Amino acid sequence: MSNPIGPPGGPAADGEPAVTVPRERVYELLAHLVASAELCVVEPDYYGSFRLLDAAAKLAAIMLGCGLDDPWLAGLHAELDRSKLLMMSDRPAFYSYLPQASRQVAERLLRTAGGRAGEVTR
Amino acid sequence: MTAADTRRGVDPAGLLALLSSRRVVRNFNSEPVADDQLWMILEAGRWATCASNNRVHRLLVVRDPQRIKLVTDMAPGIFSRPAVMVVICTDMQAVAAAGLRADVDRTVFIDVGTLMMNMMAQVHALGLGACPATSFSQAGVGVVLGLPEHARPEAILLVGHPADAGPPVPRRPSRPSPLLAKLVQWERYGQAPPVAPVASPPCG
Repeated sequence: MSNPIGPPGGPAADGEPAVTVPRERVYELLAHLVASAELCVVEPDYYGSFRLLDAAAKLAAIMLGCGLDDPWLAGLHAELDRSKLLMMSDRPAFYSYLPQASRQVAERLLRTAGGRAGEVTR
Repeated sequence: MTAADTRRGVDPAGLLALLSSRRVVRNFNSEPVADDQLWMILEAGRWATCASNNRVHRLLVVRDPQRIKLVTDMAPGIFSRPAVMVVICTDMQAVAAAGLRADVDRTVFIDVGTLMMNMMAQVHALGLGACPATSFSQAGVGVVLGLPEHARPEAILLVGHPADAGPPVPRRPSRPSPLLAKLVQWERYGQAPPVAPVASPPCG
């Protein structure tokens, strides 16, 4: 199954590179999220963070696998895949990594928006 | 080895070394598992201890790559597609026939563990890798595998050839094992053993 969703590849309206994602890959992520929602009811609470980090890594992998040229995302993907496993080996380090990942993504959002810290209006 | 050990063909120290060197393998390559190896693993499961010899579990072997993919999609706890999945199902018809109450009878779940452990030990002895998985949607896996209503998937054993996936997840120091002293309670709960436990054999 390879029915694309969204517009064909090429730059998006804002000039950022766009990527076409096959429906099957979207469904895989959908399945992961929905199954995780079911599991989180019975799993320890820190598994929720683990499942979401894993989902973020899967989303990055899907985008990169579909041809998105984004070295920053590639770096984040590798880091997410590595750091999520800290949940099983070093939980304090895992907890420390969570805000670190958020900061990285927030900084990237700022750069993408063309702003600097403190300059984004609400 | 004693005469009894020889009769069983088992070196006790060798068995302990096998058990203590086993690690969960989460990444597999695409090499298939041979039929004779698979049957040996299933046979090991067949000999698992079982409460009252009720045998209320069934081992569903899945080797079709497409079905393995679909199960993996519904299993956030599975990170890599193995060559084989052995889905341990509780057969609720067998449970009813045995007069068990699956919701409160602990042996139903304990026997899943004994099945899993026997098979994992055999997998390790064969030089293959295995991972037990319980983080999956039971409802979702039931649908993608077309399970009948009376088959409840409890756990999935992933079996395959280990991939070279970088360094293993770090483990806490374990030689000699302070964990053993923590696990073992002597005569009364909370009372430590009178002598230091024997150190674990070297781990692979």
